[in-house]
This record gives sequence, C-alpha cells and structure tokens, in this order.
Amino acid sequence: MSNFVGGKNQVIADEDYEIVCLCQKGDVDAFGSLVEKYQKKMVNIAFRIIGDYEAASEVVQDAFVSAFKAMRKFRGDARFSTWLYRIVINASRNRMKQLRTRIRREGISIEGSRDSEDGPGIDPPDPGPSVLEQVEKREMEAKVQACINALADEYREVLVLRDIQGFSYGEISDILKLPDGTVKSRLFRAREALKDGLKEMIGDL
Amino acid sequence: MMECGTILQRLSAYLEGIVSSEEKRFIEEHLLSCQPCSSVLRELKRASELVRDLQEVEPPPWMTQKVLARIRREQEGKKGIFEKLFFPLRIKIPIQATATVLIVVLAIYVFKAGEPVLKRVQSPTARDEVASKVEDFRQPAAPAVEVPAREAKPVLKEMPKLSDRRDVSPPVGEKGKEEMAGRVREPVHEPMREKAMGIPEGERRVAHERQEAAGGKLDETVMTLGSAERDAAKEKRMPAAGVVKTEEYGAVRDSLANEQKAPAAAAPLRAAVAKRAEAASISVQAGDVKKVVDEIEDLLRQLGATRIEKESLQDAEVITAELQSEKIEEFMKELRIKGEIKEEKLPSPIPTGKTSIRVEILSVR
Repeated sequence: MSNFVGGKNQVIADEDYEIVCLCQKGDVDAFGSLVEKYQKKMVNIAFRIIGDYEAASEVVQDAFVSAFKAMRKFRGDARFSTWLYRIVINASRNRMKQLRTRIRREGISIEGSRDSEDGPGIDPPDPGPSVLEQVEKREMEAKVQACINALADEYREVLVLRDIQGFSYGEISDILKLPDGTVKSRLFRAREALKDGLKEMIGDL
Repeated sequence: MMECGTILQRLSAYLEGIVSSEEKRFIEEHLLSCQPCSSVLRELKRASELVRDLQEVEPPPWMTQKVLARIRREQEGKKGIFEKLFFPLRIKIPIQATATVLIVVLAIYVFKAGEPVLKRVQSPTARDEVASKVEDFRQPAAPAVEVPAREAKPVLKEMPKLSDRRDVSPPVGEKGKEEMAGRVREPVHEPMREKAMGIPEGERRVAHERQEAAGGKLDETVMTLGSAERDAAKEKRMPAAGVVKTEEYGAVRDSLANEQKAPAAAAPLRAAVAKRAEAASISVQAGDVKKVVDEIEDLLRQLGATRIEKESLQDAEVITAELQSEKIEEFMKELRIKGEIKEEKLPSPIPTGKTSIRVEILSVR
C-alpha cells in the first residue's frame, strides 16, 4: 500500500463514513442514499467499459448489491467511493469476458452489436445544434466508443477512469490497485492506441 | 528518429502538463522541427477531445429501487436459508415436547388398562357379596333346601376342588347320606345346580320348579337361564382345571353383571323363596331302586299328587311332585314301609295347600 500514490498509510477522510457505518449495521435505506449518490458515476464507468447501456445498468445493479453484501469487509483503508468503483470495474471486466465468450461462440461482430448503443439514459442534447449535427455527434460518439471497446481491458479501464471520468492518478492507482507509474504508462499507451483506432475509423483526426 | 521515439512516448504526458519544464521545452523544440511528431500530437489532442466530449449517460430511474429491493429480497432469502438450516433445531423442541406428552399419555393409558385386571382379581369378593346376598334371601326362609353357605361361594374358588369334591367331599347337607352310600355324586350335583341358578334363578324357578329335581333336564333349564347362570352351570361340570381357569374370567364378568342385577332381582327372589319354603325333601335308600321309584310314583298318584316327574341321576332316582299338604303325612307313612328313609326334611308346620315334594331314591351298596 505504501507504494501507492498519495501515501495511503494515513487515515483517509471519507465523506461517506457515517452512512457506510449505518450500512455496515444493515441499514438498507442508508445504502439507498449511497446508491443515489454514486449510481451515475458507476453507470458511466460501466457503460464506457462495456459499451452497452443495458448491460452496464445490470452490472452496476449487481455491483451495488455485491457492495452491500461485502460492506462488512470494507475496512476503510480506501475511500468508500474508491472501493465501490473497484467493484464496478471488476464487475464490468467480468461482463466483458462473458460478452466476448458469447460473441466468439455466436460469431457476432462486436461492432455490429454496438451500433445501437447510447441507450435511453443519454442526456438530452443541447437545443442549439441542429438535428443533423446531433446525428453526426451520435455517430461520432458511437465510433469513439467502438474504438474504446477495441482497446485491451487494461488500457480501456485507465482511459475511462482518467480521460472520461477525470479521476486523479492517485485515485486510479487505488481503484485498480496499480502503481502510479503503471497507470501512467498504460494510459499513454491507451491514448496512442485509441488515436490509432480513431484515425483508422474516421480517417483524418 | 531516436529522438522522435522518445518524444512520442512523452507526448501524452506533455499534453497533460505533467512533464518537467525542462522536458517541456525539449519536446516543444522538437515539435517545431518535426512534422510527423506534431501531427501525432494533433491527433492525440483530437482523440482526447473526442473522448472527453462523450456525453454522460443517466442511470436508469429504477436503479436505486431495484438495488434496494434486491438487497431486501436477498436478506429475506438469507433469513429463509438460515431458518431452513436451523429448522431441525427448531422442530426438535416440539418433537421432544410431543414425545414427552405421548409417553405420559401412554403411561397413563397403560396404568388405566392395568386397572381392570386388578378389579378382576378382586372380583371374587364382589361375587361373594352377591352370592351371600342370595343366600341371605334363601337361607332363613328355606331351611329344607339346605344349601350350605360355603356352596354359594363364587364358582371361582370352588372349581379347582370340584372334581375332588364330587367323589370325596359332598356338601354338608348330604353328609349323612355319604356316610352310608360311600360315594355320593348326585347330592353334590344338586346344590351345585342351585348355585348355578344364581340370582335371577328365583324368577325362573317359578316356571321351572318342576324341572328342578330332574337332573336330566338340567341342560334345558340351563338354556332358559341367563348367560351368566349358564356359564356358571357349565363351569360346575367342567372338572378340567385349565378350562376352569379360562372360564373364571367369564364367571367373574358375570358376577359383576349379577352385581348390577341383584337389586332388581331381589323382589321376585323373595317370592320364589316363599314358594320354596313349602318344599319337602326326602331321601330314601332302597335295594331295588327302580321298583321303589315305581311304587312311590304309584303312591303319589293314589294320593292325588300332581306334576309328578322322574329324573334319573347317576346314583339315584329323583321324583318330584306336588302333593296336598294333608296327604304328606300319609305319604311319609307309606314311604317308610317301602324303604329306609335316610333323610327327611319337612316344613314345620306343614303349610296348607300344595307342597312340593322331592324324593331321592338311593340304592344300597
């Protein structure tokens, strides 16, 4: 733990500490408030890792239930949010493995299955841009997501956490339980790979 | 190119601004002179923009509800599993309680079931009481029919001795005769049969009075009696100890039944006893029994006796008849001529009207 960025041996100030204590005593309603608080972040992480909104929603649901069950194992050596994100990333990783196994078995192309992503939960677009612009934007997003999906798991995770979710390197280190340097090197390679993928897909960047 | 490779590796960090100022200046100098590296930087910037521009998705509105519902359901399920796991422990207590209650109930039942057996063992006493009641009614009013109190005792007690008694110990009332005859079976039979009649006997005796003396008709008489009496009568004839033992229970049971009948039977019994008080019993010893029987019969006819009946027993002939009281004296006189009167029981004073006479003719051996 000591090799983690930010010197995590010190006591971590956790804003969720009190609610977490209630949850550890079996307070389901208290856990509800945590779900409310973190569900958006959780769904977005899962969605960008998995690339499918429905699957991501299910994964997040499972992750929350697992989190509540494992609440007593939570010792407070990291922030609750960090612990929660770790859970959802692991769950997403497992789901990806399942999906890949199924796709390989059924011979369905990953791209084909992901054309119709961006589920019902997408934020309504700004009223400003025209319909054409909206369509173009959606198409572009789909392509970007496809490129993200094409990345290796370890690259994708750091890219999502850093470039999409904006986590600090320290947080990413905690979430993924990886040294800071590994996170950075993975992230740089991930960006390189993504750029290449986008260049291939879109043409000129 | 070596420089380009190093620069490209650092471009990402450079974009993020996490490179030292020295490194930053070095990279920027290189980018100004190297077009391909500048293009890569531009592409990286564009890619980062595209990724950053990805819109956030909203979580499904049911998320919190579903998560909490699942947690609650799983908690209940967990509880259910917990309960199932400990279900045997929980049911054990009722099982133990039920078992205990069952054992107690069983023990009480067994104890209760044992009680009737105890009653059976005691029952001869009860029968004694009934029998003695009958005797109370009989004895004072009918001295002529000497039924010893001992004879009236429960069948149960007498049976084991029955076979012996037939040969060796006749009833007290017949003792004198026994001395002369050596083996006297019939007198034994008589009091026994009387016993067999039991309590309701009194009622029936009115109808079967005439049959009373006729040993051959005993079965018929017995048939008309209640089952209790019949059983008792059968028992008297059964010398086999084993059989007697089994019959004991029947007798005991009957004695219990008699106990209940006793009060109801009391009234007709008194009437019967009064009737019996008129009876006269005579024992005669003769050399030629058949001849004497015929003679006595003729005599009775001459004296105007009615309902003359003869009964053949093993060792004796019995004649019963109803005779006018005035004629008894004459009858006795004639009788003394015909044979030796061994025993004579006449009601004294001799009542008026008809009197039952029972004459036993025993052979001299």
